[in-house]
Amino acid sequence: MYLSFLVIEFFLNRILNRFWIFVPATPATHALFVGIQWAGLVSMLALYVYSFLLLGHWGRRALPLTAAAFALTAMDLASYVGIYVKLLWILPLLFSLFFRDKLNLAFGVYYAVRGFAYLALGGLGPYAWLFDLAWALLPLLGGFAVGRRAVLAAAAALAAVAASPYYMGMVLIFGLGLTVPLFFPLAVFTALSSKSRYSLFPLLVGPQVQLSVHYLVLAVGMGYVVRGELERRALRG
Amino acid sequence: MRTELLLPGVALAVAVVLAALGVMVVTAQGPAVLVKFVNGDLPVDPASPAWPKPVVVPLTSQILVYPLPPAVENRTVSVAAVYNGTHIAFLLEWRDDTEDVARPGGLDVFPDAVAVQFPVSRAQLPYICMGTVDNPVNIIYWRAGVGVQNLVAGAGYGLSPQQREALGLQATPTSPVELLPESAQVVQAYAVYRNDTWYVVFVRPLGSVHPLMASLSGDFSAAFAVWEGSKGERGGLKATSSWVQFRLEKPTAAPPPTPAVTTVTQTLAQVVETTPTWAWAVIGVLVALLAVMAGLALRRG
Repeated sequence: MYLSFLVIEFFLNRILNRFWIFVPATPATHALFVGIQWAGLVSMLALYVYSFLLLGHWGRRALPLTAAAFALTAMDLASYVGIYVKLLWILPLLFSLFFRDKLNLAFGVYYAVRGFAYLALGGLGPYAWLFDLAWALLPLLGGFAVGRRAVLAAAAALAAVAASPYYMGMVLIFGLGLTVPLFFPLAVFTALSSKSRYSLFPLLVGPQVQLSVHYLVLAVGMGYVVRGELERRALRG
Repeated sequence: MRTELLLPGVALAVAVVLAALGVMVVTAQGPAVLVKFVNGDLPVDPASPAWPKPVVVPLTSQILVYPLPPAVENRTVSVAAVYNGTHIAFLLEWRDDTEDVARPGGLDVFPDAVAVQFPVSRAQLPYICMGTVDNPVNIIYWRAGVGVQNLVAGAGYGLSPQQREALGLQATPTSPVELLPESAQVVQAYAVYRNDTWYVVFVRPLGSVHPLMASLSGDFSAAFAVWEGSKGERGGLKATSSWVQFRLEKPTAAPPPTPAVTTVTQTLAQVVETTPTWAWAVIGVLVALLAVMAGLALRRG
C-alpha cells in the first residue's frame, strides 16, 4: 500500500499535473485539473502521515530512526518560520546504514551527495546529467533479471519520450528534476528489471528530490521493503 | 491484515483533513540563493565585487523544431542577488555564442532574452508554467535591444472586466501574459554581452507597487527562462528552470533607509489565497508525533 500511495502521488502530482499546461482549458478540463491537483495533494500528505505511522509501527527497535526522521523533519519544517536547517537529505543514508543492503547504501549515498551539493554549491550545474545517469543505472546493483514487464514499460516510456521530447522533457524536468528525458526509459528498464523492490522508490521519486516528503519515502521505503521481504521469508520458512 | 488496511486508512483520512484545511506539511527541496544585504546603493555593474558567488541553476530546453539540441545539453543560468532597504537586484549570467539584438524596424532577428517569474502569492507555489488563474505569477522579461517589462501571467482569466479595469489592465485579456500598468513598470535592466556571455542586471523595488506584482520583502521563490535568438528561440520556445528558493540575508549594519516605494499588501481574495505558513510547521510536527504514537498503539493493539 505504501508504494501504491507513491505511485498515485507520482502520476497525479508530478506527471498529470505537470502535463496539464498542454491541455486546452475548458470548464470540464479545468474541473478535472482541480481534481487531479487535489487528489495529488492528498496522496502527498498521506505519504507524510503514512511514513510516520510506519515508523511508529516498527516499534522500539526503530526508535533511533524514528527520532532522526522526526528531528530532521521538524528542522526542515522550521523553514516556514524562517529558520533554514534543511538536512533531510541525510535521512536515506542514515536508514541505509540500519537496513544494510547494497542498493539501499548506493541510493543513500547518491541522495546525500546530491543534497550536499545543493547545500554547499547551490546545485550541480552542468554535471547534473551525470548524476541523472547514475540514478538510472544504480538499480542494477540490486541484481538484474530482465522481464517482459520491464521491457514493455521501458518501451512505452521510450515511445512517449521519442514522440515528444518537448512535452515529456517539460513533464520530467518539473516532475522529477530529470535533465535528460532519454534517461527516463533507461531508468524504467533498470528499476523494473532490478531484483530489489526498493529500486521502484527512487524511480518514482526521481533523480532530484522535489519535496521533503520524498526524502521520508526514500528512507522509510528501505525499511518497508526489507521488513516486507523478511516477513515473506518467515512465512515461507 | 487488519493493520495493512488500518495504517493506509488512517493516513488517507488525516491527509484529507489536512488538505481540506489547506495545511502544507511538506516543503520544497531545491537550490537556494542567499540574497546578500548591501548597506547602500545596489550594484548595476556585473563585474562589481558586491555580487556574491552566483548559484548555477540548470535549465532544460523545450524542443519543438529541428535541429534538435544534443541529447545531453548543459544549459544553465547563474544567479546572484543583493538587496538593500528598498530595492533588490538580480545578476543573471548565461553563455550564448551569438549576440542577437533586436534592431528598430528589423524583423529578421529573434533577440536573446531572459525572464524571471515570481509567485504573486506567498501561500503556495503557482504552477511552474506561468501560473494559473487562481495563482498568478509576476514576470520580469528582458529582450536584447527591446528592454525590460514587468508582466503578470495567469491572472487575466480569473478577473471580471471591472476588476481588471480597477487594476489598470485591459478590460478583456488578449493573452495569458499581460503588461502591468505604467505605474508598475518599475524594473530597470542593465545588460552587457562579453566573452560569449550575457550579463543582465535587474533592479526592482523590494516591495510590491501593484496587487499583481510580487513582493520580495521576505524569502521568496523564482524561476528562470532563457532564449537564444540564434536558435530561433522565441515565445514558448525557450529553456526553463524549476523553482529556486531565495533567502534574504539578515541586515547586519545600520537599519535600512525609508522605503522609496509603498509596499502594496492588499491582495485580491479571489485571485490569491493566503494562509499563515508558520502554523504549517507546528501542525506538521504535531501530525508526525501523533502518527508515530498511533503507529505504536496499533502495533500493541
